[in-house]
Amino acid sequence: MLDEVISNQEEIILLAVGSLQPDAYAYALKKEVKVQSGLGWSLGTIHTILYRLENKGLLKSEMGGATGKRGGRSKRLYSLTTKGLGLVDQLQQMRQAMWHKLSTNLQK
Amino acid sequence: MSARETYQPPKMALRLLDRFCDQRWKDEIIGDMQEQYEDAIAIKGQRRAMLLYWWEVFRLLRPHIFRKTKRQSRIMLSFNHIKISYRNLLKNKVYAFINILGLSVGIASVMLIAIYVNYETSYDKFFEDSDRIHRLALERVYPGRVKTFGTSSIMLAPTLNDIYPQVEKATRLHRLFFNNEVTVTIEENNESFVETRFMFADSAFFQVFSHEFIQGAPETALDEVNSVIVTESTAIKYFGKSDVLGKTINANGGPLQISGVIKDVPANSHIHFDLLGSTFALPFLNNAITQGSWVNPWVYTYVKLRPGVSQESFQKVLPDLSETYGGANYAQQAGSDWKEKGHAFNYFLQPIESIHLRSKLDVEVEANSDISYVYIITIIAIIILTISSINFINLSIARSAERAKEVGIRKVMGSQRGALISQFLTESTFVCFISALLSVGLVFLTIPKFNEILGTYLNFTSIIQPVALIILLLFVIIIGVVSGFYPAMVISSLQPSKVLKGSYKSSGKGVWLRNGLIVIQFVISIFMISGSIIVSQQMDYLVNKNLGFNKSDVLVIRQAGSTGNNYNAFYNELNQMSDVVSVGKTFAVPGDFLGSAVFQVNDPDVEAIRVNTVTTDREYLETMRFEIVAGRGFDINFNDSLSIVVNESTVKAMGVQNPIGLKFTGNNNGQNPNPELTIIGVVKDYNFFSLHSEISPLVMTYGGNNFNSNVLAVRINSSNLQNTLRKIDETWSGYSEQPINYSFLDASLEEQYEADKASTSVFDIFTYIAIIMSCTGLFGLATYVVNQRSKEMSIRKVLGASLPNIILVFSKEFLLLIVLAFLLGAPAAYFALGEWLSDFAYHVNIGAMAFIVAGSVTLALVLLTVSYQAIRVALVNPVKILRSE
Repeated sequence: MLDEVISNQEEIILLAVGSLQPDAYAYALKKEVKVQSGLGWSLGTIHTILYRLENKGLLKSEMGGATGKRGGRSKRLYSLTTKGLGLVDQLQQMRQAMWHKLSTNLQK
Repeated sequence: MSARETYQPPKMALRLLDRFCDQRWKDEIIGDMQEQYEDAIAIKGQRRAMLLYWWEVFRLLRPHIFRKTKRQSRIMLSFNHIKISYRNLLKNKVYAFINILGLSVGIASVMLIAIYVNYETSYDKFFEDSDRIHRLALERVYPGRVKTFGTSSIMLAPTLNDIYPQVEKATRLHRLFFNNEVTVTIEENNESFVETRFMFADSAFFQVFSHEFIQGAPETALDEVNSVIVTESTAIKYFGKSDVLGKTINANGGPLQISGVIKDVPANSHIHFDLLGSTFALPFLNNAITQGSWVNPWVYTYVKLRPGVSQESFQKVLPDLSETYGGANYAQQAGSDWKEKGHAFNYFLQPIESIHLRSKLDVEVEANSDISYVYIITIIAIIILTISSINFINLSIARSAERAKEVGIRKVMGSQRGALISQFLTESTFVCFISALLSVGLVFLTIPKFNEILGTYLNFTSIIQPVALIILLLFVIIIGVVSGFYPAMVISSLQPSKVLKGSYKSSGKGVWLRNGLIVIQFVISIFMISGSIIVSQQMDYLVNKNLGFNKSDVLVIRQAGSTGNNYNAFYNELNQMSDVVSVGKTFAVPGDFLGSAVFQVNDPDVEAIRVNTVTTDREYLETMRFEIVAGRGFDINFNDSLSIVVNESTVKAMGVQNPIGLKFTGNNNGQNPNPELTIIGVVKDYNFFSLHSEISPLVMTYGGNNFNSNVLAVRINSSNLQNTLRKIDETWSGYSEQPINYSFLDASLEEQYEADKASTSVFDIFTYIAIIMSCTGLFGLATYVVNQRSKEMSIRKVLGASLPNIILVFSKEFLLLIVLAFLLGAPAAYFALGEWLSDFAYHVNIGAMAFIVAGSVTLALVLLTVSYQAIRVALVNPVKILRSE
C-alpha cells in the first residue's frame, strides 16, 4: 500500500537523492537524472521538485560542502527522510507485485 | 583561485538571477549554476555555455524561488483582484454594460476586418507552387497611346513551352468576352441550363494549376477537343451525382464528353469556372493559331517558372521573345515599319498571387478587388480600436469619482500604490477579456451578413484556431494594459486624506490628455460622417446620372438566337404586343463588353483611331432614345447597310468639324479589308460601359435585314408589368426550348456598382459604430465633468442661474474641442475622399454641405449627451449637494 501518491518526476528525484546521498545537491541530481534516464531537466525544474518533496516531508536538507569550483558557495544537500525512504520502498514493492502479475498474465 | 576568474558567467544573467532570487536560495543556486557553467565550458565551449547559462536563468523564474517581499507579492496577479473586478462590474451595471458592449463591438470589428484582410490576401495561394505561377500580360502600344491587356497572344504559350527552358509549363485560358452565356443541354434527362462560367483551356492547364480532381486524370483531361471538365457542384446539378466521367453534354454546337470532375474552384481565386472546355473547340482560336496571330490578345497565358527562376530574370527575356517570334506577324499586320510607326507589344509578368488585389488591366478574367480597399478597411479597424480604447479610458476616469473612497480606504489600510495600479490593470484586462469572449460571439453572428454585403466567403472557423486565439489573447492583454494604465495612474494617485474628507477632485494635470483624446474622437467622427455623406452622394449620382439614353422600362432579352428559324416569328409577335413600344436588335446593350477596332477615314489629315464597335438596327436607336446631334440615325427610307453612326467622342478624337459623309476606308486587319462605310450621323455621347471610365469613341454599324442579333432591347409599357412579362414569356416558350433570359436594363446597370456599393455599405456600418462609440465615451466623460463641478453648479443655482444657463456652462467646455476637431477632421476628409472620387471618371464635387452636416450632427449629439448629464445635476436640490462639506 502507498502512503501517498507522487508524480513520476518526483519519484525519479526521490530515487536519485537516495542513490547520491549524502552528496545529493541540485546540480549533481541533474547529472544523475541525465545519466539514468537521458532526460535533460533544467535546474529550475529540479529545484521546484526538490522544493515540493521537502514540503511533503519526503526529503530533508542542510547546507554544506562548498568547493572552489562553485566559487566558494555552499550546496544544499538533500537526503531521504524516514517517510521518504518508506515511500520508495513501498513503490518498489508495489511495482514488483504488479510486474509479477503482469508477466504471468501475459505468458499464458 | 585566480585562474577561476576567467570563467565569469554572463554578467547580465547573473544580475537578473541575483535580483529575483530569494536570499534563502541564492547561495546554493548561484553555486549550482557556477558549477554547471564550468562543466559546460569544458565540454561545449564558452559560447554554448553562456547560452545555457541564460536558458537556465530563465528556467529558474519560478514563484517559489522569487524573493519574498511585501511589494513583489502584491504585483503578482491575485485572485482577489479578479473577485473585486467582478463585484465592481455588478455594482454599476450601466457602466459595465456600456464599457463591455463598446469594447466588444470594437474588438469584433477588428476581428471581422482581420478575417476579411486575411481572405483578400489569400487569393490564389492555395495552388501548389503559386509563387512560381505568373500571368503574362500585354502592354500594347499604339501610335500615341497605350493599352494594357490581361490577355495575350495565343502563340505565346506554345513558344514558351517549346523554346524557353526557364518555363516548366505554360498554358492558355480563354473566356467568352462578348457573350459569356452558354446553353448546356443534357439529353439524358432532357434538361438545359444557361451557364455563365464556361471557360476554355489547353491541355497543360492542370499542370500549371493544381485543381483537385475527383475523377479523371489531370494530365490528360483536356487532350481531346470535345472533352470538358466540370466542377463537382455542376455535375450534381446536371446528373444528381459527381460520378459522371464519360457522360455527354451538349454545348457550343456539339456533344462534349466529360473527361474530369474537379472540386469546386475555391472562392479566393481570380479564375472561376463551372465548366472548362478545350480551346481547340473554338473555331476562331484555331484560325488564330493557323494564322500564327501574335497581334490579337485573345487568351490568358499563365506560366509556371522552374524553381529558382526569378520573375526579374525571366522578365528580361520577354522583349526579345516578343520581337523574335512575333515580329513577322506584327509586320504583316501593322506594316514592316511597325516599330517606327510607334507600335509595340511588351509582355510583362504578373505573379498570380497579386492579381486579385493589384491588377487593373483591360479584359481581366473577372473583376478584381483593389489593394486600397484593404488599406482603407485596415485603417478603419485601427480607428475603431482607437475609439473603443479611448472610450474605455474616458469611462474609467469618469468612474474614478466613485472609486475614490474605495482607494482612500485601501490606502489607509496600508495598500501601496503598486498594488492599486495592479488592481486597476487587472480590472481593465478582466473587462477586455469578457468583451473578447462576447466579440467572438458577435463575429459568429455577423459574419453571414458581412459576407452578404461584400459578396465574400469568409469563414468563422478561421478565428477558432490556436494561432488566432493566441493573438486575440495577446491583443486583449495589450488593450487592457494600455487603456487601463492611465486611469490606474490617476486613481491610484489620489490623496486618502482629501478623498475621505469628501472633496474629491483630481489634479488638473491630466486635463490636456483627456481633452486630446476627446478631440481625436471627434476628428474621427467628423471624418467618418462627412465621408459617408460624400460617398452616398456619389452613389446617388452614379445611379441617377443621365447616361445619354433612357434606361428605364427597357427589357433586355438575351440569347434570342436560340429561337433559330423562329427568330423572325418571335420578333414580329413581340412587336405586335400592345404593351411593347419598340424592339431593337443589337449585339450589346450599355454595360456589355464591346469589341474594338482601328479605323482610318478617307482623309489623310485625320489620324487612325481605335473605336469600340457595336452592330445595331434602326429600332434600337429608337428604343434606347439616343439623341442624334448631327446628321441622321438609321432610317427606313434609306439603304443603310453601309452606313454608320458615330458618337461625339469619335468626332472629337478624329479632330474634324463635320464628320458626316466621311468614309472609313479600312481597319488594322490587312487580310479582311472592311467594306467602305459612310458616317451618316452623330449620336450624343452616352455611357456605354460604366461611369468608372470616360466615354470613348464608338461606332455603330447597321445590322441589315437578316440581322438576327442575340440581344433584343424591348421598350415596354410598365403600367401592367406582370402581365406584360408573362405574355413575353409565353410567346418565347412557343419558339424556343430554352428558358427565357431577360433582365431590366436599369437594374443590370446598377449591378456595375455592386463592388462600390459593398465598400460604401461597409464604410457606412463602421461609421455608425464609430459615432455610437464616440457618444458613449462622451457620455462617460460628461458624467465625470458634471460630477466634478456639481458643487459649483449648485451654488450657481442658488444664486439664480436657470437650467439653460447651467447647460450652456457645461457645453462650453466641449464646444471648443468640437471646433478644434472640425478644423482637423474636415480637411482630412476632403483630401481622402477627393482621392477616392478621382477613381471615377464622373463624380460629384465635394461641397460644403457634407461638412456642415457632419459638424452639426456631431454638435447636436454632444449637446444632447452633455445636457442629459447637466440636467440631471441641475434638477437635484442644491441643498443635498451643498450640505456635505
